[in-house]
Amino acid sequence: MSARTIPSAGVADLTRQSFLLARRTTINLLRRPDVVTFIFVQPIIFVLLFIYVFGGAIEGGIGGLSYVDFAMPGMIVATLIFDAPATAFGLNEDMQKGVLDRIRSLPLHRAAYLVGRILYDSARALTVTVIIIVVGLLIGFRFHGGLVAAVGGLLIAWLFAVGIAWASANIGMMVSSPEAVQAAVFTVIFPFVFVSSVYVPVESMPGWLQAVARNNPVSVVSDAVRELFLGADLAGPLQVDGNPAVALAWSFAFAALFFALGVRRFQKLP
Amino acid sequence: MAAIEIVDLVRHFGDVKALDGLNLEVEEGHVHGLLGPNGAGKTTAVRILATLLGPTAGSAHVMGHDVVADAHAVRSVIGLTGQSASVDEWLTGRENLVLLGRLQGIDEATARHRAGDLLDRFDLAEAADRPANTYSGGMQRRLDLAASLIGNPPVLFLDEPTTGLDPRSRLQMWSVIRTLGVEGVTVLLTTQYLEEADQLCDQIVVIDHGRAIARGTADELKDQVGGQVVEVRVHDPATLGQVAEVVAAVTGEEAVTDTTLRLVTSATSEGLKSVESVARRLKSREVSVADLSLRRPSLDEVFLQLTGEHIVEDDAEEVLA
Repeated sequence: MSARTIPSAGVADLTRQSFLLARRTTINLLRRPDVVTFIFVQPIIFVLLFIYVFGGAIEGGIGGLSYVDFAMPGMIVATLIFDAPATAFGLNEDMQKGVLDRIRSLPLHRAAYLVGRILYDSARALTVTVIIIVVGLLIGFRFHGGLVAAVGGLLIAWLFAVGIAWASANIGMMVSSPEAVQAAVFTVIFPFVFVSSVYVPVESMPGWLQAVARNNPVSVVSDAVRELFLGADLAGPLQVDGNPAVALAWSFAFAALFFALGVRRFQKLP
Repeated sequence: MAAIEIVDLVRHFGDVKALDGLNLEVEEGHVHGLLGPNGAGKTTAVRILATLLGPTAGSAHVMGHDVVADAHAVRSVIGLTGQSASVDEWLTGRENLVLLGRLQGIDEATARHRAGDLLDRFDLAEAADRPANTYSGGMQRRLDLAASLIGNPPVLFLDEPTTGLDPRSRLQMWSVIRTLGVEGVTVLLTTQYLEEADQLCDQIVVIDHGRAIARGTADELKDQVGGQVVEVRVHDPATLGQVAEVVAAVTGEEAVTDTTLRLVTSATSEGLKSVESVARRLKSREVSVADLSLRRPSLDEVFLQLTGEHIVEDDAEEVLA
């Protein structure tokens, strides 16, 4: 037997391996034009549906704001959350097909597969964000708080999406099939997205629900993005209590917690 | 040093004892067969060796590395081909191999070179640049095997490499596996096909209910049954009863009748002498015989002898259907 160098699994390996794996997942997506189309058309449909169906019912906008200006910030957050099951699906598919068995039998960094997966999902989330912003601008949405605040808001929304993707990855490893992913993810996602300040002001909800909605991380992130997009002059009258620092803390807490749990779970997959 | 060493390996899944004290030693460069029916614990053993599953008790070493304490080192000396093809179906055959090579730290040029070699060798050169989902089942399996070889591992685990393949693809897979043995790769192969173990393996361990029940070369296992088998095939099924009577009288053993194959078989310790007696008696009774032969027992008969059960080859039927 010839002597073999055992690649040490350091940070350099992690970077190289996870980029290779992210590239692989991207190619897997791009070779399926039908899937690509639906992934990027769905968010557009969602935005248009909510703006024109709900927006019409909310006469004269909210607090003097047009509905599109009120709803776009939260809608970006919601769309990214609705896209998060893709992480669980993709991971579960790799598990079912035996791809994970092969990966786990290779001398890779223990986090390489998951980090690669999230890299891909982050890129995808960024693309979706840009698409929604373009659609929003076309139907009348404007950034009122200046360029720096706008970029800051987008960054907060995107980082939250990354945190959610890590949570989604854990669900993907916990359930037995893609069908179960569907059920599990949506059971968790729907209450979080709808009991929040994404589509309607929290004040319009029954009293007992307001407390829940106000402290829902989805609301916290949406409000932070909203405040940055609208600027203090417009956000003030709306009583948007956005706190970018708390929103960022939620994103990092999600990412850190579910990264740690995910890597642990990955090692112990049956 | 043994390439693979398993000592008293136990793995429970709840109440199920998938492995119940398995011992196994594989010499470097050998092709070793793990033969047993579905649920015997073959896959569990391979998954533990490939560091995918932890043992409940006992130990396993691959090239001297402990699969639990030194999993990373084990991963750097093994290749794994599981029961299902685990290639990326939207990537081409070549892309699949290059990706797995580069993941293992091989530079792009070398990975491409090795991928090209493997694709040639496994008769996939023509399909190399097509997405793997256009491949037939046999081609996907060969690609999967190539994928497990791209890092040049000295030890290879093949978990039922031909299950579900048609006979032609199975033969192709066999010829590929034979070349590995020749090259000095240590191969641990699980199979429920007796013929496969007989054809490919230097050493065979028969396992049942998570333990080894016999081990040796195919020849040694056949010797365990003792003696040989005398086999008579007739033209007219109506004569089977008569033939069975004659054969049993000659060998002093039970004669098994297979009406579909119009075949009577019986173990014998007398060798040619019993063939001679059977021939003489059948001739005097004027029974027309299509075929009369003396052969060594098949591994299926060995398994039957050891466990009292046949190895169920349901997958083979699936393929034929």
